[in-house]
Amino acid sequence: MSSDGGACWIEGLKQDYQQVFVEEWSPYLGAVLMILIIIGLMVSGMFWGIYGGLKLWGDYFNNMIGIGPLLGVPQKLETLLMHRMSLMNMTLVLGAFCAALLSRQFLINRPPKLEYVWGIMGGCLMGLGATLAGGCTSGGFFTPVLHSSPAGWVMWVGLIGGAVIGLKSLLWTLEHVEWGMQAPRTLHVPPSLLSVYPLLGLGVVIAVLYWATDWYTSGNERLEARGIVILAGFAMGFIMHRSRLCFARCFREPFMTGEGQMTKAIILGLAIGIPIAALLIQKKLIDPYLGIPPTFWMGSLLGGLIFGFGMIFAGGCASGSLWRMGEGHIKLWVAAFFFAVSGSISSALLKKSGLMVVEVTIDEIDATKMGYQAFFPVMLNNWGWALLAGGIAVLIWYILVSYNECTEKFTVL
Amino acid sequence: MNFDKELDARGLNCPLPILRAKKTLAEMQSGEVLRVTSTDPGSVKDFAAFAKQTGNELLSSTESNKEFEYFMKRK
Repeated sequence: MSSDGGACWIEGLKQDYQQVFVEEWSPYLGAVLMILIIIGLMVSGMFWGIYGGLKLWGDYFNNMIGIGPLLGVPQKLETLLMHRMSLMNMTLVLGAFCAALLSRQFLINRPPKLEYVWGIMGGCLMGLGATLAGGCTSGGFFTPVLHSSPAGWVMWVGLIGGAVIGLKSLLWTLEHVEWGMQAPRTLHVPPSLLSVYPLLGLGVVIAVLYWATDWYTSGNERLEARGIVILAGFAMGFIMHRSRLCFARCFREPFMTGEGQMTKAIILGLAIGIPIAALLIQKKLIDPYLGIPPTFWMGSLLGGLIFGFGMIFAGGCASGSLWRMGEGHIKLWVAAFFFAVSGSISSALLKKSGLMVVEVTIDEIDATKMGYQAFFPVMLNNWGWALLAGGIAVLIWYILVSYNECTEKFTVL
Repeated sequence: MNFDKELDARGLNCPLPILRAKKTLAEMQSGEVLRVTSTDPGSVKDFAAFAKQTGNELLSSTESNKEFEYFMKRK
């Protein structure tokens, strides 16, 4: 091989690296890959959610500062690494961190002061909203919709309402709040450190693979399942960062600029995922009720409204906050922290008040004062109608977004 | 590049860089140029999409040392 041939080979590698690890992926690719991971989790007997893990972190914090027992926060808690959602959240942040290193986009990003206020407020509201809806945009909306539950669609209505009110309020603050808008100095990364970012990223990949393999092959059933969780969370964070997949954006953008790409990517994910999940449920490979919260319809609607409003001010939903934490945004660390604390407090207080105490009905489904585990195939008596209901809802969403892209009829700016 | 107004959107993540750019552009005259600085990697695509959607021309979009700089001409 000539020396030119060698240089060409290296050049080709560099180009491919640029394309895969530096250039932004299409959100459509991101949504399809996300669905693959979710289906993988489903056939392993799990479902995707973020809230449960964040709430556990909040429970630990509230117990640590001593207010846990007063509020009625559970005292005996699963460990942070054994709780599957908590573990998955951590590895999601790691995955995004790794992707941000490989693309050299990792940066400790300090916001102006006012943004901390919005991060705290948004995080607290998301914690309350997710408690009411039985999950965030992942566990309260996306997963229930995949499991053919109307609870997800009711939260969808709430999220849209909350996003619109949130966006209008945020605009109002731009006009009326002067305090804390000054950006702090950007923290620059020394070029020597920046040049080893990809190597650090590779180090993270190897460490996570070693960890996951170690647990998966440990012969211990509990660790085996968590080996899968480690990989699923890591891949999810990686994919979400690379495609900048964001539920907050999916709900917000049609009302902001009218652009609907992220929304259509999420719609594509649902259009692929709903039939596959339906097949898995029909073949009795998965139990649909695992992924359906007992919140139809009051909890889902109220929770969606509050959550939608909160995520506009926080600048990300639950998963969106986590992957931006991995990219180095301090505001999202603050938002996620308050999400966790508020989720723990809300959950304890709502249980204390009797509003969210789970009871099993005669049909053996869970119910609370905020609603019950609603499942289309049971409500409509057969799968054909259930799939039609989900399909029509997806189609209506798609048509509205496409119509709005051309007419901007729904933008509130 | 010459510009008429400047917006410091460093440290902000979406949707704020776009919202504030939109608000600032509204206070400007047609043909005037706005310079925006941002530290959010997501803003690259956001400003391209925003320009396409609103018809305000994105004159340039560059990055140096983790800071992104945009010049946008008010339609």
